[in-house]
Amino acid sequence: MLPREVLPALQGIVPSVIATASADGTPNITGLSQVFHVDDRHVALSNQFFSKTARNLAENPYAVVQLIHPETVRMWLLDLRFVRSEREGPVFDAMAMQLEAIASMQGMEDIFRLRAADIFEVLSVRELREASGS
Amino acid sequence: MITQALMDHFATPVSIAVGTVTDGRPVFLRAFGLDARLGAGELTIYVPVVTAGPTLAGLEHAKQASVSVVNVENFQGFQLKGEVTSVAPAGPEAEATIDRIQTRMVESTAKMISPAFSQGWGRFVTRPAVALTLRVREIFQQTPGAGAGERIA
Repeated sequence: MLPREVLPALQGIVPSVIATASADGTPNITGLSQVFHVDDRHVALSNQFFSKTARNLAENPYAVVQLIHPETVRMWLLDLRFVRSEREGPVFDAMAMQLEAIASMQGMEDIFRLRAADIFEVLSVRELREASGS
Repeated sequence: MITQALMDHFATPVSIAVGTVTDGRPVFLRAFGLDARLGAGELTIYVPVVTAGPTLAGLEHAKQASVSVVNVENFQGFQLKGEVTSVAPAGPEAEATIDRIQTRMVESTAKMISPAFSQGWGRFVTRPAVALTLRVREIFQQTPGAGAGERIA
């Protein structure tokens, strides 16, 4: 489900963006430090400052994440459905370690702290080929 | 509602992400330009036609949009939420704005990420564009840190 060509866009070099919606249809859009490859059908998103996003997902489990390849600038949209939050375990530990590296790269060592690894099922992947101009 | 601080922010190299809702599901759009007036309660964003098509139909019903505007050099950001009040083709003045912001982004991403990324960003198809005007209802702080998510207006 998650094509290999998308994986470089998960390195955290280019911040991703997540869109969610509340039950009353109000969208929320915010930056995302980390999209972590769990397996071919699941990704984990770093929950750091996600108060509104978390509230929306409790009401409406669907989300869209935009990924950008750090070299080619190819752009993908992942349609996701929230599954669960993990606050410990191997995925959380691996994400916490990777987030430290991302924070260091972006000068955010004192700010980025992983609160939870939010696990999502990948429903579909769309590349925005028409946008890339190549 | 659009303060001088916001106007100053909009003049930096900004990445503009847009969220809307269609059939109860969130939708993502990328905008490549924006315009606002000091003291006004409206924000206009420019979304390329090549990616906006299906979403525009959804906006006829939902009308709600959220716009995240982030300075790519220091990650300072704001989210503006409101109701879409007009959807119209972007004219020549808007295209000049898109080109100016695109040029800033190309220059900044060359420094912040890489020359290859910067060249790719410069190839995005930004025209023709659609101008979406929002009546801004709420503004939130989005800079990473303790104040992230705080409503400021």
